[in-house]
Amino acid sequence: VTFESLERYREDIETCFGTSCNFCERACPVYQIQKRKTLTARGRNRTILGILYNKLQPSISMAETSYQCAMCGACERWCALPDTTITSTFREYLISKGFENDFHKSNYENIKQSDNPYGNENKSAWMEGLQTNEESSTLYFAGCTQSLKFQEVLQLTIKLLGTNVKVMQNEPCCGSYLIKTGYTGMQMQLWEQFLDYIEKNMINEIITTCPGCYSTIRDSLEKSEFGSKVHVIHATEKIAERLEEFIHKRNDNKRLFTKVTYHDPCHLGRLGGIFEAPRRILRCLCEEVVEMEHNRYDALCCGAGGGLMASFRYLSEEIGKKRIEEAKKTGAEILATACPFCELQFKSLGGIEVKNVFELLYRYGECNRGLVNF
Amino acid sequence: MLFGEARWCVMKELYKYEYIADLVAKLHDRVLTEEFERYVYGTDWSPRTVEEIYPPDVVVCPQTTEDVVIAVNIAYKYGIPVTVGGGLTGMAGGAVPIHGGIYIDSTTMNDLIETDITNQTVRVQAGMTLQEINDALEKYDLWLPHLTESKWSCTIGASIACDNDSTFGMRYGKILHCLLSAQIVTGTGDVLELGHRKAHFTSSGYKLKDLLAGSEGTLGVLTEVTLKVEPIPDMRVVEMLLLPSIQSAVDLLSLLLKAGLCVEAAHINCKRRLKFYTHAYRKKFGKEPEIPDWAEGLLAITFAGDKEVVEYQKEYLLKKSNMFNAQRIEEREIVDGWWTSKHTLQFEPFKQKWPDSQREKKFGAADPGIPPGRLEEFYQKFIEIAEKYTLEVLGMNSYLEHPNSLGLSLSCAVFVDYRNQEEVHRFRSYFKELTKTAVDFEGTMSTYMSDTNLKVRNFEYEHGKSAEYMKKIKEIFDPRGIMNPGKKFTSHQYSVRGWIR
Repeated sequence: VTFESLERYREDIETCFGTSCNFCERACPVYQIQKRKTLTARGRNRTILGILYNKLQPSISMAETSYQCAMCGACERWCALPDTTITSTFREYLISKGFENDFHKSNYENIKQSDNPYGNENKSAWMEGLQTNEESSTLYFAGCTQSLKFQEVLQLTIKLLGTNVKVMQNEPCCGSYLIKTGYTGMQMQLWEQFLDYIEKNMINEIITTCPGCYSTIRDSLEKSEFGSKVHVIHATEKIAERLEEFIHKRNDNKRLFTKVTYHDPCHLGRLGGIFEAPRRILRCLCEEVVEMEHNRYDALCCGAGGGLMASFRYLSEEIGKKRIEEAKKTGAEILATACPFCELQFKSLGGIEVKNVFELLYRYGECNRGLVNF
Repeated sequence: MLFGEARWCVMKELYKYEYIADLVAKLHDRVLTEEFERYVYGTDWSPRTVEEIYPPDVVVCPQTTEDVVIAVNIAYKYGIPVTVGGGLTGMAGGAVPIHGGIYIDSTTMNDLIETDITNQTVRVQAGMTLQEINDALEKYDLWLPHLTESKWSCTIGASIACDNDSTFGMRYGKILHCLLSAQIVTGTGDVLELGHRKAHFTSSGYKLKDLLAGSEGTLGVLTEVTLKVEPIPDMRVVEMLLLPSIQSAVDLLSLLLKAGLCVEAAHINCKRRLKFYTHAYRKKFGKEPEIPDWAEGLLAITFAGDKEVVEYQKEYLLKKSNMFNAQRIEEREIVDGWWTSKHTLQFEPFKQKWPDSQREKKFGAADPGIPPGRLEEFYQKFIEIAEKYTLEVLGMNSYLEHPNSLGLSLSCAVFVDYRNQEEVHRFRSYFKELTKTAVDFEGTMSTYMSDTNLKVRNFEYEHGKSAEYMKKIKEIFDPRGIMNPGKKFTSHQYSVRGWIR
């Protein structure tokens, strides 16, 4: 990776300089806490401009600054430039110059060793006793965080989806973490293996529960020869499509949860375009689904993504706390989400009960036996 | 003994590190010194090439007035230039630190200090953006109607410092109409409160507060302000009319005012200017909006208040517009698209007009003010001067900025290739000539960008002998000439280096 990787975005970077509209500032969760102009998309683009024009040299503090971004896409919502892609390319460039973040380097090594950023060798443990259909052309892609941190959600999601899916015994990391933290070379290696698997197993549908996996696999497939042949779908969409099958007879008295608010994970909502499926599910389970002030495209980030939680814990938490405060303002009992990263972040911060949509659905089923078809 | 440039170079190197060390010792992590961090603060929205980015030597991110006092005291001691900036959305380089030195980023002072519902006032730190103030006021059903298109980034301090325009100027006026009081740190580090507390006006003393509007940080650093705010109107209607001439739009507005209508916002556009606001329309329909050949002027107008009153005013407007052969734009996509660009900013996700509309060339404008009766004549002059400098005309918008009267603030815009130094130079020549021409039209060089360094050469042309009095006023507030040097007046102690660098 050299200067040329940044050169690809010269026109965009110059356009950002020429425009300097600053729309990215208001949306950026990091800027709204730190108030440093280097931390916005415009700030990073300006730094890259300085490099492209030989006014600035890369440095370790420049690299540290580049990592203070949750890659939530809030800047892109207000911009026509591919700001998050530019940021990951910038990180890639800085790594190539020898400026790495220790946390991300360590996680990168873990992915190389163990196929997951946590360095855990038991990623497949959740599959024990799982009934799947190895002949299926539908692949259920569990994802690293879901596999290691929320195994029970995976088991019950498979139940909800039925057994007509297959799983990969040695599932690779989807590469989302690698792309966002600038280790794209490694991601490409993983991806080639994954494409090989898709081809050999004639996969035509991939279901994920992790929004990071969802957007990474979907976007990467779109750029490949399989773009039109393989359909990538998030589990909430699949379940929402078949909601009537799961819930035979809606019984309002049997709704388990009273007031719930839904947090749109950045990579499922703003960057994935899936807003309504999780809400449809929640409306079946809860008496009331209330919206936070910022929702759908304008949802606030949880602060965990883009490697921020790993390397800038304090900043990440401050962002997450803002979202929790917004959730509490709605008066909801439960903050629901559909992303393991958001779930981890919110649960660690506390202040409100946090549940995954799938877990709520499963609990509903257990308390409403006969009404729910698992 | 060294003189001139050589002396400054030696002094700067000697002092630079000592004063920065002083700043870091006193303000700790509120000081940014890394080259790449400073680089971002070296430019604003004005047309310029990459070679014209002027990073400061150090950035201070204060949180309180006391932090600002510390920074200014250090600057005063060492004779270091101080430039204050907000969202850096200025259109003429007012907050660009052209002589280096200390840049004070006011955006880190963004606390709400007091909301007085009964008296409809708010006290805020000067780094709050216009939108942040309105976000805080919304729950009280109040708003600050001084709003610009850059309201998401533009701070209240910057609005005062450059005396910028407001979308709603025809009802609420410019910034002085809502500014009751302001705290500043002068160039000597003194903290002054200028104004009349929560009273709406005063006849006591000299109106020093009024000096702040358009002062560009040359008198001191604005740290806190008290503002008059207004109840949020229940509803608003937005209408656009096509007219056979630009001047006829002025005449129609004059008639509406005479009749007693309360116009909230009025903007007179030339036909070409409309294209700048119809990006979403073009994206959606793949074509330009259809504007008849005969139409030369567009009047965009809003009324706000109770439904009954608003509806009456709208009907009255439409009735009277017939007298001027005006035609209502029925296609709401055009009207709403304009209003989205102008006020709501609710662009479709990922399809913002910025920065797509600026890929090749950017918006560059001059901001003259002229008497209302000479609008058509001046418009022709604008086209003539733009063509003289071979600049592509983007168009003219006249913002009505005086409450209930025809106070015109012009945005005479052209496209500028910001990758081409020669074209940027041509833009500046155009800018200087057009703003000077406005004085010849019995008007003023500037109505919303203030003077910056671009109007320095014509400063005496507009102000004559009173320019000397203005210099003396600056000397009282800033005896060492450290506050935003090079803006309004040539700065002799710093220009010896041959800067603008």
